[in-house]
Amino acid sequence: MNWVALLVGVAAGMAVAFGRVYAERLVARYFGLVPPLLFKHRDVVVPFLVLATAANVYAIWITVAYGGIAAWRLSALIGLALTAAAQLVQLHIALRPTNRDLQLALISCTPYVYLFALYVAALATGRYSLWLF
Amino acid sequence: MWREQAARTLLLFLPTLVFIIALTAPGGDYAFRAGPLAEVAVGQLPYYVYVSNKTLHLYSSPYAPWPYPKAIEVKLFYPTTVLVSSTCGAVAASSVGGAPGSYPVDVVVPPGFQGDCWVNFTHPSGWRDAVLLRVKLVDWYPGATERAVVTLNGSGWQFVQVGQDGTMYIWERPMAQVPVAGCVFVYNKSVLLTETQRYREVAPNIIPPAVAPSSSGSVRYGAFIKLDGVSQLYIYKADCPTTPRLNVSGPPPLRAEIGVTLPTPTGPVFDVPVVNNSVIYTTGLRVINYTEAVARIYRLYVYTYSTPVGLWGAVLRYDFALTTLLTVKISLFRPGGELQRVGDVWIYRVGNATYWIYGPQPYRLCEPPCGMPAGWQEPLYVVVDPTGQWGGWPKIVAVRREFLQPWRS
Repeated sequence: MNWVALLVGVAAGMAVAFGRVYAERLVARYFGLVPPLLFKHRDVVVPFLVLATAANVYAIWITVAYGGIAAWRLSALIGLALTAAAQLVQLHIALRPTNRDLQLALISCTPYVYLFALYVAALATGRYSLWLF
Repeated sequence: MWREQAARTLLLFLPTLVFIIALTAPGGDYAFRAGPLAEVAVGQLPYYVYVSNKTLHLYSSPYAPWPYPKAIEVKLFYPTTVLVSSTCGAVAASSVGGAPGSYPVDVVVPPGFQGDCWVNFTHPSGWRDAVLLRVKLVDWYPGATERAVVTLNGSGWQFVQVGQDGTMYIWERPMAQVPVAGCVFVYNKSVLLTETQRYREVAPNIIPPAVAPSSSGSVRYGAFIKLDGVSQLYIYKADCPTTPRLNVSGPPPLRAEIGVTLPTPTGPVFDVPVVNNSVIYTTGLRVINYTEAVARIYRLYVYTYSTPVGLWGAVLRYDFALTTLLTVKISLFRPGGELQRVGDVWIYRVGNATYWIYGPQPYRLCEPPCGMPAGWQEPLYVVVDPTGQWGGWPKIVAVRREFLQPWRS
C-alpha cells in the first residue's frame, strides 16, 4: 500500500467534495430551497466523490508504477484513459449537480471494475502481470 | 426503489476495488509489474570457463562428474517457482524458487559428456529461458585447476607417495619435488586407488628428517603404479576419491641379522635390538608395522609394510650413541646372501627373493676393527621382491606443472 498516493488522493477527493457542496448550495439558493430537498442522494454522492478521486489517483499510480505505461501495454493505456474519463465525469458531477447524479456516478465506476477484472483474470491464469494484453 | 438502493451501495463499494487490488496482490510490491517473471544469469564460475552471452564453455572429465557450483543464477521477481531441466542431466534440481529473490543453480556435467547441452527454465505461464552449455571432454580430473606431470622411467610395481610439502617418495624414499601435492593420481588413463597416511618426526631437527608413520602429523598420499618403460603420472590437487579398503595381509617379519659386535670385558657380544614398542597402522592400501627397538649402544626405528602387489618394504633408521668403541662387524641389515652393489643400490639375493636397499652400506666386516658409527645414520630403504620382477627404483625424467585453460576465448 502506497500511503503517499492514498493521502494525495484523499486530499484531492475532499477538494472535489467541497466543490460539490458549494455548487449544491449555489443551486439550492437559486431555487430558494435547502440542498437536501433538491438532491436526495447527496449523502452518498459526496463521500463517493472523496472515495472515487482517491481511487483514481491510486489507479493511476498502479498503472504507472507497475510498469504498464512504460511497456506500452494496451490494457494499461485503456485503464489510464478510463480513469481519466471517470475523473472528468466526477468533476462534472461535482460542479454541475443534477438529479441524474446517481447514474453518472455509477458509469464513472467503469475503470475500477475494469482493473479488478484484469486482476481476477491475472490471478486465475497465473500471469503475474495486470497488463494481460 | 431497490435499484436506487443498489446503486447507492455500489457507489461506495466499487471505488474500493482499486484498494483491494493493492492490498491483496500476491507478493506485495512484486505483483503486477510488466517486467519478466524471472531473469536467468550466469553465476560464479571458475576461471577456466569461457562465458559468452548465456553460453558456457565447460569441461567434462572421463573420471568423475565435473561440478560447477552456483554456475547459473535465477533472479525471481514473483512468488512462484520455475521449473529446471537439462538435456544432459547436468542439473539435479527440478525447480527453483518460492519467494522472490536470487537462486543459484548447481551444474554437474556428467562424466564423459561432450557436445551441447541446454539447461531450460520454464514456467506454466509461458515464460521460458535457457542457458547453453558447450562441453568439451578433456583428460583432466574435475575440479582441479593445476596438475603435476611426472615422467617416470622404470619397470614393475612402484609405490608412489606425495607429501603435503610436494616431496615425492617412491617406496618411501624421497626422490623429487613436485609442484602440486594432491590426493588424485591418474596413470594410464585411470584414477588410482589412494591411501592417506600421516607421518611425524620421531626426533626433531635430524637431517634428513627421521620420520615414521603415525596417527598424527603431516599427510602423505600414496598409490601404486605399474611402470613399463617411460610413462607419465598425473597428480591433481583434489579431494581423495573414495577408495574401498583392500584386503592386505600384515607385513612379514623382518628376518635379518641386525646389530653390531661390541667389545665387552667377557669377550665380543653381538648387540641385538630388543623391541620396545610396536604399532600397526592400516591404510587403504597397506599394513604398516612401526617398531622402536633398543640395543645397548643404539636405537632402531623401523617400519615394515606389506602391499597388495606382492612386494613388501621396510625403512630402518639407526641412532647410535657416541662411543669410542671399535667393532669388527656392522650389520645394519643383512637378510643373508652376498651383498652386491648395483648402481646406487645394494642388493641381496636370498633364494628367489631379492632385497633392494638404498642408503648406507648395510653390512660391513672390519679387519682391522673400525670405529663404531655415531649419531643418526642415513635411513635404509628396503624393498623386497619375492618374484624377481621388480626393476629397482624408477628414474624421474621430468617434472612439469600444467594449468587448465579455457578451451575457447
